[in-house]
Amino acid sequence: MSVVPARGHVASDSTLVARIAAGDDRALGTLYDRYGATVYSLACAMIGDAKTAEEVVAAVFAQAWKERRSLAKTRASALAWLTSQTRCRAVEERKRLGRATPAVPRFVRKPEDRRGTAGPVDPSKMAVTAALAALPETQRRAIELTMLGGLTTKEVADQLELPERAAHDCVRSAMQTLRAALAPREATFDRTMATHV
Amino acid sequence: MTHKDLIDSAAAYALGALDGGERQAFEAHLPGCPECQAEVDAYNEVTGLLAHAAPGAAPPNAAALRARIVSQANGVRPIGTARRVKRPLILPVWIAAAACLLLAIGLGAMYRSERGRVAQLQADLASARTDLAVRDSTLAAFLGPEVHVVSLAQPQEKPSARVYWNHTRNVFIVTAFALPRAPQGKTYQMWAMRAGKAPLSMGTFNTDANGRATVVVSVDQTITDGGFIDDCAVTLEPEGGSPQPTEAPRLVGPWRHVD
Repeated sequence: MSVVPARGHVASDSTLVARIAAGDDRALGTLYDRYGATVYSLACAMIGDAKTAEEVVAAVFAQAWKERRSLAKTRASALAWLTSQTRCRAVEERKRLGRATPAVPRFVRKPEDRRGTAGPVDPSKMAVTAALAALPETQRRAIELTMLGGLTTKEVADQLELPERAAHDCVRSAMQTLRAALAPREATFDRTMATHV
Repeated sequence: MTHKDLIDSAAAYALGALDGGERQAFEAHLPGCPECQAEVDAYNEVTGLLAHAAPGAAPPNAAALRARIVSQANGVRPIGTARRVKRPLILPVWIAAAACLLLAIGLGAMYRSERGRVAQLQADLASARTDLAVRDSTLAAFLGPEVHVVSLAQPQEKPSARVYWNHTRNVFIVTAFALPRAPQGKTYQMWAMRAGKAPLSMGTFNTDANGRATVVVSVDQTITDGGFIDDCAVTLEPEGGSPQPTEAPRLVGPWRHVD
């Protein structure tokens, strides 16, 4: 059973995590409602297999529940934690499936591109797509290769035919730019989410 | 590697883009460097936000996946915490053994008690059956055409005993009422009185505290062989009876035939 809160009373991520830590499995359901599709899309893009991606998401949320006490104490936001776990598992699954280097997909260009998602577009998503769109093409592709392809900077260098050092700097510069563009959201992510129903 | 080199790797580390050797070097440095930790934390958040840009669709069975995740949670406890389940009550072995022993003793006692009670009931039943048989027999002996009866009384008094003689069964049934219990060391003795002959002992009896007695006495052959009996008398004799009456009859009555 999920409780649909009234507008303006959406629980923040940190509140959800605290409720999960206290053993509230409904809060875990709410966390899934909030980020399940996001981490599923990420897993799907990294693995290239819908069924396996679903298993990865199930495993990540199971782990979130299992480690809920430490999850509540970590410095990372819920999304950062979920993303980190999903990426680790997705890389493992891709190795297991023998898909060493699948074609690395591209980031969505506009938030509306995401099929199957209904409702208003998350401001955070809009900000991310906007920040990515503002990156130079090489930098954006370098981030796609690492973020969605799970490649190391050395592998990015091979893929983009760049010197290792250049690939490394490319990734670092892109991340600095993104960090600057999204900086307010790092600290105020919960507040941003709280305005979204 | 210098700190500058390492801190420049923080973004790639957060993306998981360092290769094995680079990652190990960075992780060796990280615990002692709050500055690098802060960098990694910041880039972890950026990486988290980048997940929003992943292409793809919502899971095909989003509701089923959600239900699975929530139901899985119900059966999983957090790491490092004791499962809060009701433990079965485990008693020390000696307490359990003592409890078993007490139970066994209790059951044994109950069994013995029950067995005793059953035995008592069986005895009572047998006794009752015997009593009933005696009464049936006694009642049958009272009835029928072949019964003589004598009412015994003190002179000028109401009868205080009756004797029934059933010829068919060849028994005397002595029923006494309002006859004071014989004192200690004494007994009542009944006599068959015949004209011109010595009395024949018919047996001894005593009454209870209420002055009552019902005694069935087998008729001695000598009595029936002795011919017609005129009267029946009762005397008080020393315990065990006497060959011949030692006193004048206390109760006396003539035989009559019951029709």
